[in-house]
Amino acid sequence: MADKTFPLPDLGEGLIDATVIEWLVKPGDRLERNDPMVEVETTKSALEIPSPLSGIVKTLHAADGETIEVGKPFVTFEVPDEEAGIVGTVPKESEPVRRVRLSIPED
Amino acid sequence: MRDTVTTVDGLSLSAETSGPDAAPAILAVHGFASTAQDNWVAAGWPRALEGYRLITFDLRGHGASETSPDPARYSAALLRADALAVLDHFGVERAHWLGYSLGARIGLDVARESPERIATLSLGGLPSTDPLSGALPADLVAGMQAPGRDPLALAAFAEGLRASTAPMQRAEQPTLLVTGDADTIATDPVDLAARLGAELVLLPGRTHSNAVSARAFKEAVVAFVGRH
Repeated sequence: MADKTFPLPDLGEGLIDATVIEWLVKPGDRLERNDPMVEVETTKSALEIPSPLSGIVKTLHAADGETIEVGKPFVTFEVPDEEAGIVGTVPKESEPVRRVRLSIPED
Repeated sequence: MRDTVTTVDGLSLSAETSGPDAAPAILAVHGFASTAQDNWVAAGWPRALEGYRLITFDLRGHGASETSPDPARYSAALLRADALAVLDHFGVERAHWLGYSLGARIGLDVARESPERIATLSLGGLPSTDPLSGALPADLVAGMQAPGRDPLALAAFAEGLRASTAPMQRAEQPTLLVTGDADTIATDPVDLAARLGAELVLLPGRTHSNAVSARAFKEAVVAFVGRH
């Protein structure tokens, strides 16, 4: 098994950070892609961010109530080795709506 | 599917529907100075309401809907008519109403004026006093200045609605009230639930701005709508 860490994604509109309202999962939980994972609050609104993949939650990098900057490590998953090298991608939305989703940045 | 709905007085509203056409419809109406995207989509409601036909729209003066600087274009009667125009546009005779804050207040009024169109009321963060009366709370004023907002249209909205609102009364439909227990805008939810004959769900620790994404809010609505 290998680790795959996702940063807090760009939330748009110049927002630089978000505060965790409540994690809906804990380390050890197995998630399916798109399962509700965490609620965060920005100066603009409250968001629910879904799981970016199917896997096991290993580490939550911010506690409930903690503020985290965009781009900082947010959540780490445990994935099978053969998936570890694959860079996460953001699915393209056909409609002009913004669904916040986690992805791993390409260096 | 995103669509444009024309109001009785000729404004364009941005509306969207998702889920099976044949499923029971839920019309979700956002709060003052918010949008359908921020209030419902980003907060995770489409996932929570999977299996229903979810209909959302931006209130006039908000989001991608048309704005006007004229307070007369934001009367309570026009706001009620807008919601019915959206239902008509998508061919929905009767829907469950899901509203937050001002969107909850409009729902109460639509349910009383057009009871045949509304099956149930799920009302989140509903203030117990008239909407936008008196001085606006500081966090609402800040919300009016947020990116993507039109402060002039919102000021006209507040003025027009304030001048045309009738006192709040209970509706005949089954009613659910959901409020954060740290909400400083929708205060006294216990008294309000009694006045409205509503079931009450309190969200521990939640404020007016962060109650919208609460899992307990979504679960309460899914259970309530499912029972009716």
